[in-house]
Amino acid sequence: MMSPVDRIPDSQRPRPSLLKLYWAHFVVGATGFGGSIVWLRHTLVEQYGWLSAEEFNEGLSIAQFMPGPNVFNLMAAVSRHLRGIRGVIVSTVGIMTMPFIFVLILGSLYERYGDLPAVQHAMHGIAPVAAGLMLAFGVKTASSPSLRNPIALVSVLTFIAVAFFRVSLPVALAMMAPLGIAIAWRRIR
Amino acid sequence: MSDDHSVVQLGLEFSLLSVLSFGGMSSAIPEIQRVIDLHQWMDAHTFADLYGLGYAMPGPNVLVVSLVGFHVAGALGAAVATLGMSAPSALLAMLVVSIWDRFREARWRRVIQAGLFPVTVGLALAGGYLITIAAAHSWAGYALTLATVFVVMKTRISPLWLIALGALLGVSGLLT
Repeated sequence: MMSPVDRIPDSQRPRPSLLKLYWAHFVVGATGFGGSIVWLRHTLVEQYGWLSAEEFNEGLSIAQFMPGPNVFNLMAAVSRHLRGIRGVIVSTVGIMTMPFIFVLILGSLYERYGDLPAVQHAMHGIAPVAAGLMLAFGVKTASSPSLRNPIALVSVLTFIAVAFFRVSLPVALAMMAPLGIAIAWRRIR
Repeated sequence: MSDDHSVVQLGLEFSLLSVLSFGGMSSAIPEIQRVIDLHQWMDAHTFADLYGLGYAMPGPNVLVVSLVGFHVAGALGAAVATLGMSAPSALLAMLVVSIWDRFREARWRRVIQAGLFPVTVGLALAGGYLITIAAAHSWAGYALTLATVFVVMKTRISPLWLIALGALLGVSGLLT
């Protein structure tokens, strides 16, 4: 057993007001280009000291173990240190305020001017780059050392089933998760 | 198809996806595209455009879901899709926190995580493949995707610059 995570004692933990919590997350959402988790760590751990690094990492492992968007899972997972469920709601609304306004603005502009040649041409450049970013992320995770034979076969089968045969996520999970877990069962002691 | 109807569908589809997307948003991309096809919410090119727009703004990577919701049913659609994608899994995460200490070192937990990891890798690669096909309007588009992969693997340049460069290349008309 590992020792329990290094927690800030509750008597010493700064207790942010809900407004302060909202503002901190608002700034993360408004500035966090290219993934908010790095900015969240900086803000919650280094800037305000509301969480210890270990508490943040523990929240991140829970967030990554569970399904769903990691950022929101993370905020839910550390909520017990930060004003509970009200804290989660305030933080989530805070981190989404600016991005949501951007969605409304860029979404409307796209609906309205998406057919203009200049806009279409720009999108013909933006979309392939975004596709490349996604692909590069896939390649990076695929190069993880934990992905050795034979478990890499599960990745290949999942890719073929989903990319070529357009198998749905529930079906893909039902087929591939037991296979992956069976292989991992033999390897992990 | 009435608007109320599509708002309900957005909520249901993304709530289901929320509790199935092990590995986060990158695992969810192929299923989002499949569901979009199923309900005929938009064509593949439009989805690739929205995916690209999601990168061009600050915020969490869940924004592609918000943009899909907005395209289908306006501001309400964006809110419902985002909430559907986030709330169920966040609630689960809150529940798991209280028992995490008891099983975080347990063998079965590590086995599940290790067993799901290769599935999430396959899903992320499938998402990248499907978006690449949807995004390219010519061979130049495929070349741009490949070049992006290469640059991201070899350098530490911010993705934002690459998106801006892509937009410039596109406006110049080289990719159409």
